[in-house]
Amino acid sequence: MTKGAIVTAAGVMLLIGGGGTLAVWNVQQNAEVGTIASGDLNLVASEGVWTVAAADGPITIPNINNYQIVPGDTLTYTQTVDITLDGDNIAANLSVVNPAGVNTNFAQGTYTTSPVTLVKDGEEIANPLDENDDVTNAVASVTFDFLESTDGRDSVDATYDFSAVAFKLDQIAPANPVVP
Amino acid sequence: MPRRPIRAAKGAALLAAGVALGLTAVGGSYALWNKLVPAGTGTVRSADFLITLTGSNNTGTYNMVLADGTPATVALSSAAAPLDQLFPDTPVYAGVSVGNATAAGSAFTVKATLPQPALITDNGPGTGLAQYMSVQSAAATDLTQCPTLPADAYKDSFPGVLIPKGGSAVICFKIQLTAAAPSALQGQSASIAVPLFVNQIS
Repeated sequence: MTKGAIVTAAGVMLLIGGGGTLAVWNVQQNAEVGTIASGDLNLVASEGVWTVAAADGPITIPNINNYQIVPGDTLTYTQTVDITLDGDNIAANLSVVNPAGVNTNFAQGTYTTSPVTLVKDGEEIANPLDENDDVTNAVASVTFDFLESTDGRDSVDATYDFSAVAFKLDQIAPANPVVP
Repeated sequence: MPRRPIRAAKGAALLAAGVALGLTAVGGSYALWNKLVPAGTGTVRSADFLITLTGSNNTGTYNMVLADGTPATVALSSAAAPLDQLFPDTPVYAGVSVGNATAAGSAFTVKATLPQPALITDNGPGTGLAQYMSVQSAAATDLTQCPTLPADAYKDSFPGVLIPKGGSAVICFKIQLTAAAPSALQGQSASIAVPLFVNQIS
C-alpha cells in the first residue's frame, strides 16, 4: 500500500508540470480549407440475355452454355451497361475487351458474327467520356447467325467462345484540369 | 570562393532529385481509376446432326454417320435373320427406323427421303433375278407395321417423311418378284441397296 501511494503522487506531479506549458501566448484561426470530396467512376453491367429468333418473336435462352444451335438459328445477345463518371476533371475511355470471341471448328462460310459493340440510342459510344457522359442503359450486343446454307454436316460440334468479353472503363488524365 | 562550385553542385543535385521525383509522380498517374466488368456472354455451341438407323430383323441400331464421317450401311436382314423367301406375287417386307436424336436447342425437324431408286444386284453373275424384282416403300410408325400396311400404301417413289426432334419414323420396303419370273431363278439371291438421305428442314 505504501509503495502504491508513492507512485501515485509522482504521477500527479508530472501532470501538473505538463499543464504549465499552456500558460503561454497562443492563438487559433480557422483556415476554412473546406472538405475534399472524391468523384466516382463506375461501370455496372446487367445480366445479359441470349435469344433465338423465332417466327413469333425471339425466345430467351436460359443458359447459352447448354444450348446447341443448328443451321438456321440466329442468336442475339443483349446486355445493358450503366456508366458513372463523377468528377469535375474526370475523363475516361470505354472499351470492349476481347470483342471478337474465339472460333473453334465453325467452318468459314457457315456463320456470321460481328464484334461486340456498345451503343446508346443506336450509336456507338465515342471516347473520351467526361463528367457529362454518364450513360444509363447503353446496350451491348452481338449476333451469331448459323447460316441456312450450311451443307452436309459442316460445323457440327463447334464452339464460338465469347466468355472473355468484358467492358472496361479507364480513367484518363485530363489534359487541362478545369476548376469550376 | 572555392565553395561556390560545391554549392552549385548541391543545387543541381537537388534539382535532379526534384526532377526524378516528378517523373516518379507522373509514372504513378497511370494507376488511375478503372473498372473491368465481364460481360458473361458465354459460349455458342453447335449441335450434332445425330440420326440413328435401326434395321428390321434385329440387325441393330447405328449412327447414320460413322465416327470417321463416312455414311453407315445398315443391313435389314442377316444370315441369322434373313428375309422370308420370295415367291412371285408374294412380297416380303423389311424396314428401317430413322431416329432424330439431335441435341439441338431449337426445333430441329428433319426429312428422310429416298431420292434414288433401289439398286438391285444379282448375287453372282448371270442369275438374272434382279430384273424381275421391284422395291416399293411406305411410311409407318413401327417396324412391325410393314407387313400389315395396305397394299396401296406402298409406292414406287417415296415422298419423304418428317421426323421431329427426338422422334422417329419407319420406312417400310416391300420387295416383290414379278409373276413373269422364270422358275429357273429358284434358289437365286439378289442384294438390294436403298440410299437414304436425311435433310434438316427447320
